[in-house]
Amino acid sequence: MGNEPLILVIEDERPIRNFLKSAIQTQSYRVLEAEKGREGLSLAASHVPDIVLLDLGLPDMDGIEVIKELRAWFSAPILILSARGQERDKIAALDAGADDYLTKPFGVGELLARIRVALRNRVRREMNEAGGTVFSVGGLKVDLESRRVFVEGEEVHLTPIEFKLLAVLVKNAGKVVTHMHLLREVWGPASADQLHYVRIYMAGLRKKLEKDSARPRYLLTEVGVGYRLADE
Amino acid sequence: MRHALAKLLIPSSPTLFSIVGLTVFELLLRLRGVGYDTLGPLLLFGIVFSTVFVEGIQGYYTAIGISLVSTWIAGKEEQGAVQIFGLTTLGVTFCIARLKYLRYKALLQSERAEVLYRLSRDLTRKNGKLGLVVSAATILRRELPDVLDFYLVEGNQILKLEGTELKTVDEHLRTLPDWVYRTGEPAGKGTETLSGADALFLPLGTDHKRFGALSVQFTDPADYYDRDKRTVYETIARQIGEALERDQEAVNGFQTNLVQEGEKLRNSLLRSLSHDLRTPLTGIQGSIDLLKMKLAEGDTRENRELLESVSEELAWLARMMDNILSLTRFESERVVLRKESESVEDVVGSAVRALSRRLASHPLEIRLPDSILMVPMESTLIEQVLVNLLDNAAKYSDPQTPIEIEVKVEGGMAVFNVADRGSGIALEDLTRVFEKFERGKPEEIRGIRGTGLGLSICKAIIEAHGGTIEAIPREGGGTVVRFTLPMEVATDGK
Repeated sequence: MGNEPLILVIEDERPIRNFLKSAIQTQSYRVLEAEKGREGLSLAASHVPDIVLLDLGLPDMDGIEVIKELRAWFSAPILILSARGQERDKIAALDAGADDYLTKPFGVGELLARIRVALRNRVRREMNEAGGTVFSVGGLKVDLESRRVFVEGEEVHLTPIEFKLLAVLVKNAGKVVTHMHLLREVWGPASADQLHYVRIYMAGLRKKLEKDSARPRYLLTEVGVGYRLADE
Repeated sequence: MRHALAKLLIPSSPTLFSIVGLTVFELLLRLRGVGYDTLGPLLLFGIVFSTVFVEGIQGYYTAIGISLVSTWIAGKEEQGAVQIFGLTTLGVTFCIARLKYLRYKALLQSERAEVLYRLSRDLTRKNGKLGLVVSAATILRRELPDVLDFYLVEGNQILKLEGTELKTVDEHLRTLPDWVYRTGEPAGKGTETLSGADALFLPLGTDHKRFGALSVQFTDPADYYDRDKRTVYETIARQIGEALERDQEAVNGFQTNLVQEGEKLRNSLLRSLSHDLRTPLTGIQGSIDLLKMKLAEGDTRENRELLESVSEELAWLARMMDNILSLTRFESERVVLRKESESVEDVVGSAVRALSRRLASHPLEIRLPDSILMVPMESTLIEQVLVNLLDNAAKYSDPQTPIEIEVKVEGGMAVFNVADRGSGIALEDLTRVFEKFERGKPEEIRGIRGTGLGLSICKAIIEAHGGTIEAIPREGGGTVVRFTLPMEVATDGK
């Protein structure tokens, strides 16, 4: 005990808190609960959790504010819980420094997958600093250092922009990456009004990497928000 | 005014007094042998002095009178000097009269300015159409001698202000106010239009907007042809018009405000509804998942199937909630779509993924154009349309029958077809199913649950995008739902 990841849940609805707690405990992670934003912030400061699960609709303060205050010092993943139809809120939360989101209602499977991704990313970040540069999921293999991409063992040739796009997704594997984030990383901050670039290049990338680009296995669309590279 | 004119023309007592006085003075000095070289300037001074105190034109009487007296008194040898004196007097008197006239006009104008000022001050304070007109009428009737009437046009009615009320004008009295209101030109007496009327009618309004008419019956008939007088009333009518316009803008602003407030309220209501409904759904879904995990080993198939069906019901509830929320949003008239250029593949793929569990028992065929197709849309809404259509297709067709999705470009529109081999929709129901709370015939829906909202929200979403949606019976059985989206990119660059 003591080495299991610690997860802080900030959610005002008790039934959801209970279910989150039970679900998290099935993986023998440790859980801390907070009902309000303020309480969550002080718990985060005193316990320094490995992941924060944050409901965007808290009674005492705006979820975006909680993220901003946390991000002033806190670098571990923040996962947002929000409703469908609030894509703007999700994007705002991601821009403010959240790592990913879950759309209510979500299943336990989805929740645990997101938590795994968040924990893995943390480990991967540490690994990357040590030099790990090959990413693989299913039949897809991406070597960031040699800039080579393989699908089912066959090498696929990407244009420089396609590779850059894929590389950003690989570095955030399993996590949603907003259109704006991709645009900034790949095309630079000056092209902020060219959001359709991202979609067009993503379609091109899918044609090269996916067997059926209308039912993608790797490059998943998060409608209204951005893209996610599957990592399981 | 006739009286005033008379006052100017008939010699007044000060005039007569100064003529007599100056004649006596002249005779006395003349008897003492004073010559006209001295007498002239003295008389001139007397005339000027007296003229200043009499009404404009009367100064001439004094001047002419004294000049005649002097001609009669003076000797032959002095006639020349008297003539020069007479002409000088007339000239000076003329100048004085002119000055007096200018002063009189300035005075008149400042009086009108005072009325106008009082009017505008009062109008800016008053609110409400009737209040504005009543207060304008009160001030103007008190300050101005002429008879004024106010007409307001409401819809196709013409109302006249009587006392503090607006009363409908009789049919035969409508012509003039109506003409003035519609054309914005003055009419009636003193104009070239319908000059047989007994009053001058002026439009009540500003350059942008007219509200009715102002009629003027001048006390002095000559004023009908006085440009200045008409200008004053035109100014007054415009000023009242401006006040009415401001008032209307304020009312409109207030209403816009109300609408905006309503929208804000509705949105926050929707947000809290969405939150309140999702919370238990999330809780239930989670708990079922946990139960499933815990019962996984050594569990009977029956229990697992039970839980599976609860999960499906929940997913259905969640989808229905999305529909209800979208419908509520679309019912609120002013939906502003947040369109972005989206790739069709993204939206189709994501809808298919969202329904993957439900579609698992049907072979799915997706045909998209070879080139990347970008279409301006609010992607979450179009995804919702596709989810609804695919859900219907799965609901009303037997397992293992194929479901097809096709997207192509036809005549500047992106065309989406979702086709199934299900029970189909009766010909007479093809349009009805898109109405709210309407579904196919009972024998065709065989106890399949539905709210009758799915297709109506699809229709609302597609039409908001400027597209069309229709259901078409399919050859060999089943239904194709076809919808279109315009391809032109919005001009705002989004």
